[in-house]
Amino acid sequence: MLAALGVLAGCPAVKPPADPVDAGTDPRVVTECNAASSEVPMRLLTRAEYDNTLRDVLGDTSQPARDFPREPLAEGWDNDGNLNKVTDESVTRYLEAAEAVSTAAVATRSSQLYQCATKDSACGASFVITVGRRLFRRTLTQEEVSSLVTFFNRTLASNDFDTAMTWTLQVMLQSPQFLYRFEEGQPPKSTDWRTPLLGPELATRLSYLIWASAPDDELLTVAEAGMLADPDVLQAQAKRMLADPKAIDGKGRFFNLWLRLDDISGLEKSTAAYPQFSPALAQAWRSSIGLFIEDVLAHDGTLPALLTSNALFVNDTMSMYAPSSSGAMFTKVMMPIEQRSGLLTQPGFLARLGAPDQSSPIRRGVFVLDKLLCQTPPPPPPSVNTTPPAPNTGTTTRERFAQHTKETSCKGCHGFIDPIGFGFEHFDGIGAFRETDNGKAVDATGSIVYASEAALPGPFDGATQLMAKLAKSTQVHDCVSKEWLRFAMGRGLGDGDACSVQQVQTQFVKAGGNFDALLLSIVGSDSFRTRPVETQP
Amino acid sequence: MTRRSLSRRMVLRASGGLAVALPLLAHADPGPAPKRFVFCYQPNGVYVPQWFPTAGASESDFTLGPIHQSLAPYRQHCLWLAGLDMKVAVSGAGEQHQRGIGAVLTGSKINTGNFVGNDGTKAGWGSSISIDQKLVSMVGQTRVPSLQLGINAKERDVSGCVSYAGADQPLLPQNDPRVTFRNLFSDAGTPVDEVEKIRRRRGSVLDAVLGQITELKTRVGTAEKKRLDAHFTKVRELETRLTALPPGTCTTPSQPGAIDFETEAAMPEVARLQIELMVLAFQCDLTRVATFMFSDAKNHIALPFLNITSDVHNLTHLADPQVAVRDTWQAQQFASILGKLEMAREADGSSMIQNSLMFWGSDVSLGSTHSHENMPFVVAGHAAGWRMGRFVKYSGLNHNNLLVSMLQGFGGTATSFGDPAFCTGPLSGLT
Repeated sequence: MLAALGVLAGCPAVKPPADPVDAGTDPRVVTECNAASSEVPMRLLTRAEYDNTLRDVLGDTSQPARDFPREPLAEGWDNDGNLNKVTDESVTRYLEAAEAVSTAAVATRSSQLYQCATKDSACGASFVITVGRRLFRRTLTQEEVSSLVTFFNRTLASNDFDTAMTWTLQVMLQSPQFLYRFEEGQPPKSTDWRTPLLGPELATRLSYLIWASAPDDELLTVAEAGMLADPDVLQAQAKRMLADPKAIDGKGRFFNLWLRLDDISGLEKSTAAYPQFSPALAQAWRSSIGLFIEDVLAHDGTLPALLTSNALFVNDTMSMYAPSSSGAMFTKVMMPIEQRSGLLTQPGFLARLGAPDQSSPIRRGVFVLDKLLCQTPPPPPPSVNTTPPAPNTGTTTRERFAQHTKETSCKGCHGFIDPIGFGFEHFDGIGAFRETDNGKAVDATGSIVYASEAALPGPFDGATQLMAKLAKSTQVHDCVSKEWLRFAMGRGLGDGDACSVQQVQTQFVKAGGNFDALLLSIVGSDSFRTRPVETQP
Repeated sequence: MTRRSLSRRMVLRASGGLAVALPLLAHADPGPAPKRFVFCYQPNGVYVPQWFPTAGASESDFTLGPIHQSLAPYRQHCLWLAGLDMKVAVSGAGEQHQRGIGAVLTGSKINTGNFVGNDGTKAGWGSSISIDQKLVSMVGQTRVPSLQLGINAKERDVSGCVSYAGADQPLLPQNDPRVTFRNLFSDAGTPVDEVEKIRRRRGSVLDAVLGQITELKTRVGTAEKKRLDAHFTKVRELETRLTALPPGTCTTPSQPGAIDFETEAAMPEVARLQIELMVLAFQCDLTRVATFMFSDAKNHIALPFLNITSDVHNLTHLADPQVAVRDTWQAQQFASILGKLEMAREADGSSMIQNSLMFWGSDVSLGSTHSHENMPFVVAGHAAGWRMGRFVKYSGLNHNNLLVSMLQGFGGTATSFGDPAFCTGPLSGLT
């Protein structure tokens, strides 16, 4: 038992420490919160950020980035500045997108580009300054303005006004000033570990965190006036943005990546085991869970509500889960709480954490340990048979899996995983509620065997009781808030982030797991408002 | 896919009445046919009991195993290899699948990084140029330097990449045949004078973009400068590509329809389209190098179109005979490429398979042990001038030796490829 405990306790999602600082040459004092962490100086817009930015700045809703290369995922996150780099493929896609977007914008939405009485060179210059500022997320330098205006005029000399406008927009959309988020920070003093970001840089972090999109004019104006340095102004702007409908985009991105929700729409199930399955059902699962999350955010807006809400959104494709719907429109049904309680009991989510032809206590147990408790179990060693036992007619899933993992070598980890996963046995591989499995009554009793939070371990019966335990857990709150901070930073957290992590975790628990409060505390944290100062060579 | 035939330097009138042309290079003489290279990757090793041929009295006297039956018609074009080990992948950063896929074309160990492997170890990208990219610089410039084609190869980390332009410079596969089409044929079907206008405009716009990058570089730090330099290079290469003129006899396809390309069920259709587009690209001489990835290393997908409903990676761990069903399908894909290239004609009327080299391999040999010994490698085509139609057994030589043989087969003079500690020079007995 002790050895087994060691296996699990040895594998929580602890980030590797940053490189040790050479105290011999560095004049700066290392304390708990003064230490190195590596900031990324420039980050490519992700596909989602690119599309949202074009929507908000140019009114373009064609989502051209759907054809861009996928981002490499760092610990599941798509916005890692070190990993996201341009390739032959991406510059080709940028070109295609710039051509299509600029042509459509000039042809159909010219009022968003310019509002001049006469279509002339002066109008081109004002377009460069105004739209350029929205695309580059700061006022353009004199040099940038002059080179873009020169390009505009040169094009205008041998083409019509719309052509000059279109081509100039293509240049801006392919400029690194648009494609990357740059962070320079204010000039540091030699004894500083961190230096505050410049106003527009902080505004950009803020808007891509909360909106997954570019700052609007108000935020840019406040930022360029230097007012975001005032914590009250920063908080006020963040609150204004959280109240905007676009905030669902920023939060949605976190949930998508954290829970890998986009995997749901492509799920494939065995139609022998589940004749009701069709690709349309997988699409409906994805829509349904998106609506569930939006519903939680629109009402309680808390982690406990996410983990315990008994809302379920169903349409005719999903009529097997609740009877009240008809047609393709989704309707909200409040399910019996002893059946459905929270995110982990949503059909699409259970299907994602299920096998193609049966449920999967292992996948479900691992999810809880990994993503909610931040106690990632190690993967099975390569020599073992990890194919789940095939369904048969004589036994329950639980019996088969218990047999499957009874080996001593498996027990080390499965002793922690399976007792949690068995709690979801009232749900089959497509997330339908069941009282019996293969004709036998479902046994959904389980237990949390180990957690770093002393109060958490103990028995439960079924997912509803498990979710109630998790919803109250400080460890679960700490896990989620740290993940969100990591996502906000677009890089792994280092020693220098320790205090920000602690502060964000404390405030999230204090706020009852309110997600808006979490975002406000991330925005206010040192890690978010500053960037590290590189050690001088 | 419907097609319109186009011959060299001709502008045809398509059925719709539009003038259709591929921009053509004014070659006075076609010269010798270009050499081409194709690599096919399949994940997680093979079903070893049915993989290797049964040797006979001589190297050319052997019996194909059940998996390779679809290659029987192309037997004289193929070389089955045994006894080559991927020793460079036995140790280093990452786990065996990651090390294997990162080494198969680079002959090098992978870097450390943040990609979590099967056993919790951390891996980064490949650490040096891959053989396909090395050959790109030797086969002559084309409009598209090389193709990286995916068939449900979704991982955006070391597990999802075989081609590297250099250390930490992954060339990730394109899974969407529509985008493959656009990369190759975007100007096809556009009237010639229109194409000229588009080119002038793109040249002008991209020059201005390069100006923006140069301006920005004056105001940023060292790390940013380095990345902006890389960005600058990519944009300049794009400009060159878009204004370079592809020569060749050509058939322009129309754009494939949208399909749900990142699903297991769509894999056969995606494979068919990607292979067809690659062959057309070869025929149009738009590119001369391609790598295919039939999904990712250590993936956890089923193959419903083969009635394999459980995770193939797990099946390879079990050495389950269903793996042979997967391998047989992979052999059919390889055979499909060989068949199409055998049919395709060069300008001088010869078969394209004479000037091509195809290589088919994996990241490990046997999934249940993750072994890198006795790798399942098949080579085909005559571009390297090797004696084909044989089953050749080596005794535990490094696979880097095969890679450097390929390099020499394309005219290279280097005597080592990849990590020199794992390369003792080209294989004997190939020519």
